[in-house]
Amino acid sequence: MTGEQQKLLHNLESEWIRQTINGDTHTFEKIYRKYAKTVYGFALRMVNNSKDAEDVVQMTFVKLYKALPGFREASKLSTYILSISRNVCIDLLNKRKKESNSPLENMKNEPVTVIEDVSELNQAVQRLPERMRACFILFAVEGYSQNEIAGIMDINAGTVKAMIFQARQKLRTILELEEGY
Amino acid sequence: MNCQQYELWAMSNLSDPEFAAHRKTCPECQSAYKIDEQLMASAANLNTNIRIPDQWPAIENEIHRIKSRNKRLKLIRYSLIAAASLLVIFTFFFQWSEPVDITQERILDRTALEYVKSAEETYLQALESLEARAENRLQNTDDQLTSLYKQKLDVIDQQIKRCRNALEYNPANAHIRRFLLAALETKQNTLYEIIKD
Repeated sequence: MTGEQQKLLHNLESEWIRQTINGDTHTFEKIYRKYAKTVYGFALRMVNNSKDAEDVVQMTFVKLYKALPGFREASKLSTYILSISRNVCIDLLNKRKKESNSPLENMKNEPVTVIEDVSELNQAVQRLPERMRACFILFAVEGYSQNEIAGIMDINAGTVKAMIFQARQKLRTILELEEGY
Repeated sequence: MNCQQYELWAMSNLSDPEFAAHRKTCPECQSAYKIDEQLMASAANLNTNIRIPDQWPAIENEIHRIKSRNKRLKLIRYSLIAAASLLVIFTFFFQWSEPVDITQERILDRTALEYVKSAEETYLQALESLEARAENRLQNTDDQLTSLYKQKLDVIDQQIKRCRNALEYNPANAHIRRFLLAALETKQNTLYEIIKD
């Protein structure tokens, strides 16, 4: 997206936010339609369950609606939405850990040998620690820059770089792609 | 992985041209770089075939619920302010106003007084039943709405108490009886709202 296009989008979203705060629910639907896929994709990779991912989407947009009056328009709306989504995913994953033995725990010792299809990569991504997984998904799957990810995750850009590097190292190991150096 | 150059490049401590030159002489970094390129390409495809269910109806319902709750909270705050203002006016009227010649006051005759007392009794019976039904809800002190309702009921109860105290000395005073009936009616309406909620 060019700088001009980004500015236009920013202005459009500012208007949507203003109308939503003034009580226009139809305008909030435009925000939902624009970002639902991104949030769902991110949530699905984080929680690895379509039903839970749907819950994350619903909770994210309801929290966004409540939080919009306090939104500082200096940051991007997409970044803000994903930071809400990230928190909802982390809460859900923590709740899941407390409630039961996560199947992810049992997957830790199952080696995956080669990327035959994306589902094997998806399984490998699920084995990354949560913050690392979130950084990798946002970078490699959703295409956000490291600075944007720093804003979403509320960490500095250096930490994002480190997380992405470590994620790639771990994935190489999990997928046994390295040639034994 | 033994070579540190890959990590240095990943952490932006080595430029792209420097790393590209290094890769030509380091099979380890060359292999890792190639694998990572494949990983990133595969990862970019993870979302391509996702079907997103439409959750807008559920989200819209939740938003409507939030909006009507916020509206109720606002109404209760305003009525709390109104009730508190009435209490202040009532207190001023009975504590700081000049003593009035009782013969000049508006006094209810016996029939009217009996009628008003009967109306008060009816309210009191209804309130007893409503308070019992609202008791469970009022015990939930974590809820902001419940907390506001409790504050409103406290203000109304204070008003009722002051009216009763004043009526001990002046039982046929029409103004005080009017204040009391108004307070009883407000309390009844408030309890109805709590039960309905």
